[in-house]
Amino acid sequence: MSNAYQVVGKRAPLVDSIDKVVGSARFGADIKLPGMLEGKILRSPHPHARIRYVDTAAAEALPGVLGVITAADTPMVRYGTIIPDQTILATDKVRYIGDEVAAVAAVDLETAEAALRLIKVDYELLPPVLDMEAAMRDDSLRVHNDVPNNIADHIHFERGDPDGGRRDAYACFTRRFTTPAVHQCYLEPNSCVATWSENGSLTLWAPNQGPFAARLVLARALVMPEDKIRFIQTFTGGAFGGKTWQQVWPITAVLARKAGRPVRIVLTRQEEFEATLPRVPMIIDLSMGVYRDGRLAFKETRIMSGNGAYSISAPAVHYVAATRYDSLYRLGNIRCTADLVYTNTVPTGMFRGFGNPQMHFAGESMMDMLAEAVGIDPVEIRRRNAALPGDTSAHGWYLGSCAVQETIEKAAEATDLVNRRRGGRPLADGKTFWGIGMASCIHVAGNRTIYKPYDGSNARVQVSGDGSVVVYSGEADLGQGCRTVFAQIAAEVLGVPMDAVTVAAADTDFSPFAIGTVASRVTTLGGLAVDLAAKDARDKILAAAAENWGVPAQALDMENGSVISRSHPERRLSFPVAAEIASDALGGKPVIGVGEYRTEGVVLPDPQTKYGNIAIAYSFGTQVAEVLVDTETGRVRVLRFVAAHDVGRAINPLGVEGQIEGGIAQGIGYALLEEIKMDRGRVLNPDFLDYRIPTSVDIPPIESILVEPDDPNGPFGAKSVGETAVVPTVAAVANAIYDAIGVRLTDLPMTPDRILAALREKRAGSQPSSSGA
Amino acid sequence: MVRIEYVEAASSDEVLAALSQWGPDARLIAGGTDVLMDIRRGKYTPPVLIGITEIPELQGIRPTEGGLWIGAVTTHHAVTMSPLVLERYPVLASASGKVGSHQIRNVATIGGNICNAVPCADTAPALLALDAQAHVLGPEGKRVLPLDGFFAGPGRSVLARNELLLGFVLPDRLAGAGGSYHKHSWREALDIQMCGAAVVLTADPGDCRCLEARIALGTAGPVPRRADAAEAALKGAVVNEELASELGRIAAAEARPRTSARATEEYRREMIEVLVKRAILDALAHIKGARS
Ligand SMILES: Cc1cc2nc3c(=O)[nH]c(=O)nc-3n(C[C@H](O)[C@H](O)[C@H](O)COP(=O)(O)OP(=O)(O)OC[C@H]3O[C@@H](n4cnc5c(N)ncnc54)[C@H](O)[C@@H]3O)c2cc1C
Repeated sequence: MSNAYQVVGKRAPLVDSIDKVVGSARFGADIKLPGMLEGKILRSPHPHARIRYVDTAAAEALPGVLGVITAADTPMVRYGTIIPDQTILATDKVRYIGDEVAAVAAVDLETAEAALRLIKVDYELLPPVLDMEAAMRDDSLRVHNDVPNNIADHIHFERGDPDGGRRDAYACFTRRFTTPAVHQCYLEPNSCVATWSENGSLTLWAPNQGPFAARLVLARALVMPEDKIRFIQTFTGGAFGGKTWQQVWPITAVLARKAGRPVRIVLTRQEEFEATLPRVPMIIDLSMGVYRDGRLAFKETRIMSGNGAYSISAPAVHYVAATRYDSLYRLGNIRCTADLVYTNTVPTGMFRGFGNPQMHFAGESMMDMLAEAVGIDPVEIRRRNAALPGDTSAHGWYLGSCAVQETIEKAAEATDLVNRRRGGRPLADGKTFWGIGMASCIHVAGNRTIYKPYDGSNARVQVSGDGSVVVYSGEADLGQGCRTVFAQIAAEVLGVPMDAVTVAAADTDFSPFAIGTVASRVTTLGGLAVDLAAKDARDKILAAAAENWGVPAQALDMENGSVISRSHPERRLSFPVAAEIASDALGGKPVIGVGEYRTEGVVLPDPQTKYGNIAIAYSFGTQVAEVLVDTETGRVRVLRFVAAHDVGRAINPLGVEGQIEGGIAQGIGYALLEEIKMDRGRVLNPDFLDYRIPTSVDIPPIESILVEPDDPNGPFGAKSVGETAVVPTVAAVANAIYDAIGVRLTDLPMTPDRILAALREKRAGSQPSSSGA
Repeated sequence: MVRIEYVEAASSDEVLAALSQWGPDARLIAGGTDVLMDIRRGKYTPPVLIGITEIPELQGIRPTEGGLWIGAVTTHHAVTMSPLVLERYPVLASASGKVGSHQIRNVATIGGNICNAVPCADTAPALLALDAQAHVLGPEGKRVLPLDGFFAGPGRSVLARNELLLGFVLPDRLAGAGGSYHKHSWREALDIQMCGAAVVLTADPGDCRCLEARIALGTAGPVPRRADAAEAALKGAVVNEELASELGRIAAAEARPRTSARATEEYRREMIEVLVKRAILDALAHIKGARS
């Protein structure tokens, strides 16, 4: 089928790669306006304190300072992406080290920094709430006075008969898995430039994941009409979930209004680590059991998710952790209780995978334990339980396409996993152990719960009289390559070469409404909108050509960049000529195709039971890791990764492979290196010296296998891969470590000292045995 | 705006003159990979930076009286590529090769690594194990001091504010000796060490009896240091796997690592044991390899 396409399915370098390589792409911090001031934010040095007063007089008096703001300069309303628990600047209390208290605009950075030091804040210190379990107790102090037990969100649901499943299980285990807060570590820090016009409208430039979604929350925070805000997405140097909401946006806006000049704020890397939105840390108590034949009998989960001081998108992340993994397998008996807990620590949020890698670490580790207990191999247990196309899962999710079985088989075959497993035998030196491990995963392409009022995407495709094409979409390219995919789709539909197509940047004044780049929805839903808009433009061009020839429009078709007559194939018009005819017929205007894609068969899940099909398509994958473990030092080296992903159809295989490689790199960091370390609410490692992400030499060769079952809903059959790629990685590494040294690591990151400690426990005989019922 | 003057010195005399002109807060800058980080972090704000990398006296790797001269401003990259170093003191090339990344090694100098005097400086254990002599110039003239004794505390050397390190001399006596440097860190590149161990030894090629031995440790105390007890136990003993393990234990026992956010004292001690053992076995393999 792919041979039928000219552009779709071909390896396309990103359309904006040259701009990035030569440095002409303008990222957030590159935006400069005449008269622009530099802003800095004063942050709380305390995890929990009441603010008695803030004295800004000395800062305001400093020459070069043009504006100082505190909460009093803001509307002081509470807002939030999901739960309204934030204000622009701290009003009554500060709730974490890094909480925003005031901000300064000055002629240069040094003056702004000097002014920050002149602001006096009188704090009344309160004991910080730090431990999740303690925070939930009745006698705990509250992070937010109106939230008892510090529980921001509570989930409980059951499916089938979990107790019966447990009773009938042949083998079952209960384990606690813990995962830390880790940072997205996008190369480009968050920034914002804001300016006001005399008529009271606000324009902002910022790297972000969806300017419309950002504007929505901004309008609430600033208490102003949405249409008075223009939000322009700059080139975005990575986001991974971390740029859906940032406090720096409303702060810059208020500061610019106060100073009466444009203001720019660029966060430092330290601010990034201390005060942006890292991955939700979780404590997962998981019980799972299997019948004698290896089929899953039940799953029971208790999750505590670390919200930090404010909620932002953590409630959605928490919901994903509670539900998503369950539809990977044919699993009917489920019970889940999950609490999202406030503490006086950095607020957490979205990060590639959205709660799913956390739960997959637990679940896919458990699958290997269960396989061992019933005496089948890791490949077979997954194959026996895997969901199949056409299934409706326990949560009501309809899997229109589902090739998880094929990904399991292909990944196993490519690595010869079954025969090469070693089960804890050392290499010749007696100290180094080689191991191999597998993990599978499910993810979504879109998620109905992301934005309650609407689930769809819009696009405009404009074809000028000279045959050039511009695609307008409000969905955001963060570097993942949706501009390229949109250009491919438009080029394919119109039959033009890709370089005839430009994809405009997202701008709320000009782009059609979009929800933004979250929930792995953009290639699929955004792509469908572009597909429809391009078809609309094509049909308009065909209609004009038909009129010109005096034939009915149905008699014409588009082929290899030409309009042809079906009955008289010798009659053809090249695309530019056809476009000119169509444009002339409009009096010289360009042809505008409009496309709106709205999901069908997708519902908002029941708020209590969480039952309901949330996406038009689900993506799957299986990854296999090979590792070497040095049992004297505890260091793990990842030697190789093989990743088979069901992506529906790869519109841009080059982009898909890039996403898989990046996801695995990030997953290896999560597995082995990364953790935002905290002591009494203070981040101990707010820099790249002590927050280690893998370097290029820590990343092994990665082999991608693309499985393309053609999804019935996706554009050209395409589903998602961007987030999916990181979902199983940690578990694959954990399972490989187990194969190598026979110890099961349940706390991330799996650092050398933890590995040595686990080996010591095993030698002492206290590692819980993972065989036997 | 913070303003820092910059003076490019053409000779060591110009350095001394600039140091006396600007006073004790002036800073020398070689590759700047430590200095600029320190200034950024607000550790100090010198009125002037005195550039020293263009001074011929501080450059070069060449044979000199009694040993091999390595100028203070030699970059780690140059050390790793030098045929003289690779042939005579490969342990130093290995240590320089483990500093940071290509980008860092292209500008960072061996003199800066030592004068910065932090316990985790990667070339310090290798230079200690090689009995390096530091050549220092001050207002009173030149002095030569053994590197063992150069470090005064974390981030402090015995150099006075108005002194300049010219370079090191590595003794001919240890040229071609067996040597090995092991660095333990979390990832493969661009990483500070949790700890490090360098071993240099000469042994009777026949029965592997150790003639002379140096064992030096990084991040095993407030300053890079020799493992005296382990060295004493090595000297005169027949080197084999059992002895190497024993020496690892001795070195770990005499080490004084501390717990930090990076690693615990216990884990560092455990690693010192492993690294010393591995470095000794590698050095032995080196000697045996040279023999066969
Ligand atoms: C990203 C990064 C990674 C790093 N990784 C490592 C690593 O893995 N291992 C490691 O050991 N180090 C590492 N470092 C630290 C640093 O690169 C080394 O210590 C380097 O050798 C310092 O050399 P330099 O020439 O840059 O010194 P500079 O920064 O120029 O100077 C350092 C100090 O020495 C003084 N000084 C320099 N030359 C002389 C002289 N001739 N006489 C007297 N005083 C002098 C300076 O005044 C200053 O106080 C890293 C640094 C960075 C930024």
